[in-house]
Amino acid sequence: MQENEFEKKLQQKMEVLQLQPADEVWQKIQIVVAKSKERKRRFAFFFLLCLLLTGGLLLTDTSSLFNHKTAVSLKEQPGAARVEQVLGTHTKPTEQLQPEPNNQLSAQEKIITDNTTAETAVKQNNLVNKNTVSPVGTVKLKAKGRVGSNVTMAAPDEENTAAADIVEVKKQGAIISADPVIELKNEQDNGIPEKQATVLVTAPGKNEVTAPVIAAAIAPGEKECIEINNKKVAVDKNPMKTINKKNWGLALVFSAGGSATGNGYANKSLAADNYGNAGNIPGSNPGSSGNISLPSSTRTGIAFSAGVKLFRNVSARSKITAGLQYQLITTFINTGERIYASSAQTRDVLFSQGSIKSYNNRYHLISLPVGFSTRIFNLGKNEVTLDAGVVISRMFNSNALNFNTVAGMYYSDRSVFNKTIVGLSAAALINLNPTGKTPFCIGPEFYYSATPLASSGMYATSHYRFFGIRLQKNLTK
Amino acid sequence: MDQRQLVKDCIRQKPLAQEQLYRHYAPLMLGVCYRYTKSLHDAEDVMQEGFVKVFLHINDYNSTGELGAWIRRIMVNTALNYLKKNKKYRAEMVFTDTPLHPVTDLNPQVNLDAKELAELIRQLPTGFQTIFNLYAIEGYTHVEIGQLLGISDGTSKSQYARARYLLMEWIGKYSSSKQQRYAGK
Repeated sequence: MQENEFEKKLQQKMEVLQLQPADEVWQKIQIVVAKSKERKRRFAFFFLLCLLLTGGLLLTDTSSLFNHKTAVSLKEQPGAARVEQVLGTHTKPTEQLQPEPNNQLSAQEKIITDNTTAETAVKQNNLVNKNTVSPVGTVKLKAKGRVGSNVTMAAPDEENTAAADIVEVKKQGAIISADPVIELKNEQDNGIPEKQATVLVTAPGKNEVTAPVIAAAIAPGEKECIEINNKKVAVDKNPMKTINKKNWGLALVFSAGGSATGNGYANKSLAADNYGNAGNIPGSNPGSSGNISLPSSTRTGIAFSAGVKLFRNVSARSKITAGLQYQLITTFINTGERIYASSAQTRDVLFSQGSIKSYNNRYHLISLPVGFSTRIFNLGKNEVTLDAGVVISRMFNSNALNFNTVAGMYYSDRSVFNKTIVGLSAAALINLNPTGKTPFCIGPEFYYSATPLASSGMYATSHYRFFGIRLQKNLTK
Repeated sequence: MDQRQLVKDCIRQKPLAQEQLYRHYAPLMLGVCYRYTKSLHDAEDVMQEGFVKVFLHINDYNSTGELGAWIRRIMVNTALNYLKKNKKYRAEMVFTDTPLHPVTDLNPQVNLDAKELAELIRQLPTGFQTIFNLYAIEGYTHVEIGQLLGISDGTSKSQYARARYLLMEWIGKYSSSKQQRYAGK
């Protein structure tokens, strides 16, 4: 009982113990919380970016898997693409696809039984990179090149996916295998997108040979079956035709230029109409009819956007597009000195009226552009397309200053801004290097937000505007 | 401002609401942190860390409970972590179990004010100070204290008994010297 009384008394006394902390403590807390918010925001942005990139890569990778009906042929460069079999320390080139004039079929098999070592075999093959030879029982050859004739290789039960069909050609205890389809290369001169397959030749427990070959996607045509090492191989006799069944494409989009939002209260009649809604700061009396101060005019700032865009062909000329991008829009205004205030009643940032400092208003937006792209004319070999659509944006952060016309002060208050913004964008893009390995488009872009920056106050009639140059790099054709 | 609205605004990370919350609770929470540390500067550090946690995790706050109590719990946990992390305190956070608990017949009148009592509590060795604060003032049980500090409840009991004995002695001495001072005047 005595014990409890003592504790009770202590508790009562301690409950009223209050100490006044130093002012710096709150400032430090503000800084740490702000940094933490920033970190979270960066992490979210980075996560989103990773997600987009992963999605984009998956889309590009899986698009080739959807093309099951696309036959793959081997084209040979003169003297290129050979697959070697290595048995123990003896190398036996077993299969060689030889070039044939006029793109005619040729797929021959050669069994060479001379007792050369793996290294010798490697040296004999002038396409082999010597650096890839491993001294301990494994030989990796990189016979890289194009097979000249139109040869489609396919398993007996499947007509297509030839790159995978080189798999499991067995001969004398060795296994020749290949990864299904590794990579879609850029279009060659003859308009055929190439695929690269890696052929792996192994002698179980001993050696292995990796010999990448280039395969090109063609339309399935008339085929003829031949046998190579007891393996049926379908051979395409028809001239090659390109088929493109990829429905969706992916592009990286980057724009940079100037941005503006309009002058807001710089228009005096507008200020007179709106000053009562300009927000409250200490010392101001928004409802009074005193003198009205006007803020500085808003000047153009720099802006940029970056993101990804998906497109889908809807006709020979037109595509529909959708994307996701980050936009930064900035403007400049003149202010006086910064006023530091720690009272709970004040906004976090205050500036007096004046023209001592140039303050940079920044607006960060995440945008979802949806629209269409249509070819309008050709400029020589280059297509000129019109890209236009609606952009739905979310303003997730801003440090922009508002103005209180009665107190004649600038203050920051993000809550007055409209968070969801609908706008229109248009760009005229010229497709440079359309048949090359890195096709990209460049051209002027214009964006205008139909939704004003804020529903009341200084920016009630201001709209985001952007004019700049867009660079678009198509990752898929 | 309505507490619910204040919490909602803090969840939306409105600086004004955060400052209001801080201004309202900071003096009381500094008092809490002060009891666990040996200097005001350390107490401010603990409180700063605690408020950062409050603002970052305020969406975890269950609005049916008392906000002050929730913040206080965060402050106590932050203080305990601070003591464990800080070299200066960690060396003194050694808890030994003694089978014989000191018993005192002293029943001093606690006629000291809050600040004086807090100063006496802060004179205790850090281990005693922590357990005394947790048991006598925060109202934790010895089992809970054991879990918080990673010691057995028996150790917590014996440490508390020794802390209480010391403190009662000091309160008695301090009160009598205070009385003598007043009588001399």
